[in-house]
Amino acid sequence: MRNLLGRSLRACATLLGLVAVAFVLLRLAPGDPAQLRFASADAVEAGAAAEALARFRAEHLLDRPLHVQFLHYLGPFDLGPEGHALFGGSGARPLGGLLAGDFGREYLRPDVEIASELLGRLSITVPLALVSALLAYALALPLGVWQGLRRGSAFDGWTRALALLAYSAPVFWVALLLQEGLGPTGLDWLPILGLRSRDAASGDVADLAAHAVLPIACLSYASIATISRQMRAATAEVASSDFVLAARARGVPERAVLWRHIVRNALVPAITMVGQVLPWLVGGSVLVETVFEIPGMGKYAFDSLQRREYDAVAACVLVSGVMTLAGLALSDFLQARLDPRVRDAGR
Amino acid sequence: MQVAELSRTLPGAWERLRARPGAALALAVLALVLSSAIFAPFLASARPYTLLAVDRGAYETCLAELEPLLRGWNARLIEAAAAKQALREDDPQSIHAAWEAHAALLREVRAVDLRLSTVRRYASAEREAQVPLDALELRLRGWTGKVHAGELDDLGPAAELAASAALLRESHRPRDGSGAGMRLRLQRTFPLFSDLAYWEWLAAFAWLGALVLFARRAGPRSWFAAAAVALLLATLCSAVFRAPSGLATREVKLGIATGALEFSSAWFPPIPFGRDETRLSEASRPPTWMASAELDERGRFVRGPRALHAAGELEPAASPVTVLPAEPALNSPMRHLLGTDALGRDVFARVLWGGRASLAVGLLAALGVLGIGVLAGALAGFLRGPFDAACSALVAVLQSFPPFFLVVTVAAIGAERAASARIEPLVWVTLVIVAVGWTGIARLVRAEALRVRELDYVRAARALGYPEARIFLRHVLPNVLTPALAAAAFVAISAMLAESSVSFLGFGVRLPDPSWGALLQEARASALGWLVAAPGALILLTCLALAWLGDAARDALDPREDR
Repeated sequence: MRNLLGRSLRACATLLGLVAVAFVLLRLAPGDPAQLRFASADAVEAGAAAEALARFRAEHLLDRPLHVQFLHYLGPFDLGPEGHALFGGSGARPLGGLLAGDFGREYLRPDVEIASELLGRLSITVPLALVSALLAYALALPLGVWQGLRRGSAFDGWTRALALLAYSAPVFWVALLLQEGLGPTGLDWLPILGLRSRDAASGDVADLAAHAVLPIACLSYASIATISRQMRAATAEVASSDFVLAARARGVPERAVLWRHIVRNALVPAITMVGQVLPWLVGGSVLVETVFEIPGMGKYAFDSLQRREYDAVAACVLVSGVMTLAGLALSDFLQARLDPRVRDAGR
Repeated sequence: MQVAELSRTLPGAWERLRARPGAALALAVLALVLSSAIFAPFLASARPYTLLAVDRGAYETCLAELEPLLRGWNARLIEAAAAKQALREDDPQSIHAAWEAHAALLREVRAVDLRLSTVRRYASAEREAQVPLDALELRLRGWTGKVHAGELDDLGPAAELAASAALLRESHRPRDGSGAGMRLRLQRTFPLFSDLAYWEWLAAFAWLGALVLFARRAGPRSWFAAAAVALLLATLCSAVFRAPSGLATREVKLGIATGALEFSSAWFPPIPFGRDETRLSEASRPPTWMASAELDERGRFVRGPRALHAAGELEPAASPVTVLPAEPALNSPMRHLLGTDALGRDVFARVLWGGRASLAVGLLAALGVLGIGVLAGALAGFLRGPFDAACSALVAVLQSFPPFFLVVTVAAIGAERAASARIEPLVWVTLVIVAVGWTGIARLVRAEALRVRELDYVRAARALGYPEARIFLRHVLPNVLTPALAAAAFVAISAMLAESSVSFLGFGVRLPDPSWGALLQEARASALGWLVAAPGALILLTCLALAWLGDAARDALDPREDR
């Protein structure tokens, strides 16, 4: 119980750190963000720009001290002139900031709420990442076990070399090559842009699957390399340990030795890697979604960076951080489920 | 991973590393890639190593400019004299005006000097050619002396000087087709070398020295000697070639072709194309060893327009390709081994130059990550207490972001602020990669330091009463290096991949300075297949060699035989 409490406290502190990083990121934007953003507006747009500038300043309390700006950004109370009555506001908009689930709006498209936009984008990125992770595990675990059991064989050597190759290949380059080779300019096997054809019905699963093949392949191939590497090392280590020898000596059937003794124990470190694989997939989604023009969170972050929608960028960074923390929690949980030593230590 | 102390593992580690299959090949590949990047300015440039030529264009310009310059000089002189007369001790504005006028006058004198020395260098060495120059220069010197001394009263001879410059223009006219006029002297210049910066010389010599010493398995003392020699040579070369080459014509090949450079002999690098040398008539040409790259003399593709243009896009009007001196023939396979991009720049030259940025960022970032990670981790593990707590909290926060995501956003958002602080984009990307990436190594090293600090030899040192700083530097730090060394190659890989990815997205090393990632960004924009292949393949090759070595190093540093 104490463990749990300490853990959640630490998680809260880390979350606060995440918000601080996002806030610093926003302040990294050059000069007074408002000024710079609207400096380039020409005379025709000057009126609209001035209005947006005023809104921007009011929303971000740019003339207030930094800690007030941070608290305002964090929420859950809006500290602005229309904010909560306790903090000198008019009370028209008492809640705001991240803790109130408010990520702000885009500047150039004020009717777009970042939070809802991001939610829509996540409904594309998260399934993609999950399918890629599942695929990577489904391929890498058997591969790693096989390599670990047949260490030093030709199969082991070749697949390890292949894994190093996959590890070293820049994902955007592989994506470009696949687009060129399998897209309309090459063999014309698969669609290479977007997630659905222009003329496809909304529930067309086959069309969706065809569009998702290349992005998922690009997202998962590097993870296959890292996971299989881990699985190979773990399998090799477990297979040469004393309890496996003892099990064989007791006459436990080879099938049972493999599944109950070797694989089950070797799985733990590989499963724990979920905590590293998921953030890698989210980070890689910026590249893959940009190359394949998939309207997910990565593409949103890229577009926002190009349009200087820094609030949206900070929101993406924050969400990716929360997803990473979730991945780490998931890996802790799985480890505890799989490994009785960890489970009992927690009690 | 069970890790032994470095002092015990390192001696045998190198031999174990070398013994791995493919390790020598990986080392060779890495050395080749690094060499091509370091020597890129020597390998691919539009400017020759040496050139024996008359810069006729520069000579004529200088000769023509002398007279107007001297007239302008006269005007400045009158202004300066007037300002001096108006000078009053108690009026700061008049003092300022006099100072400005004086400075303008000196600038003019310097400009005249420069033209005069160029004319003097090219004009024939015969007496009759040099005498009027001498006279002019003598009077100029006298005048400069007067300017310096502040005696500006006599204004008459300045107009006279301008008149003699006009005479000079007649008498020193360069020889033209009819054979009349002055015969000019050939000058030997080193256009390529005089373009190089000090650090480029230094990198080239240091790398050469390192290769030689590595091949000869030299001891540490010769490494120091080699470093000193490299420093000396670099200083010497940059001092010798830094002197103005006297070649005003930047485009040597074009100068030779148009006759602005009266050329006797030149020695061009093997790839006689600059990284930014655009040639629109040859744009989007496939690699020249491919049949589809064949051009006819009117600049059209012999095998018809490419698919891209056949699809209804407007094909750019073909114009004849001019083959400049020193370049391979129009349809020679060696002309553009890797094709040209949408602006007609040679891809091979750009890829060579691009490696400089990519490898520099990758290796520097890896060094930074290792340095900061080892130091922070070792200190945190050794000191424990508040520093450890702060460090671990920072690591926890930074590690709860997808690292690449953070690198991209920080690099992009901070780019303008970095630019306004005069930080080069290349340096900025390196800094961001280091700032985000040091945490992994720090965690590894911290765990190791926590273990080492409880070992007997550390306790013994403490019992002997050694100061903490000495215990840390002499006993702890060297012994926590092993995990960092084992991970070094992988750190370099992730740094290189991060740089190329950031540049690919357009937030890293900015064009026109090529890096492999930035080249791929261009390739994506222009949709020409041969642009995609080369830069990515080089990233892959470099990272693969590094990964192979890293794998071998990890095993070599792990003393357990059973692997």
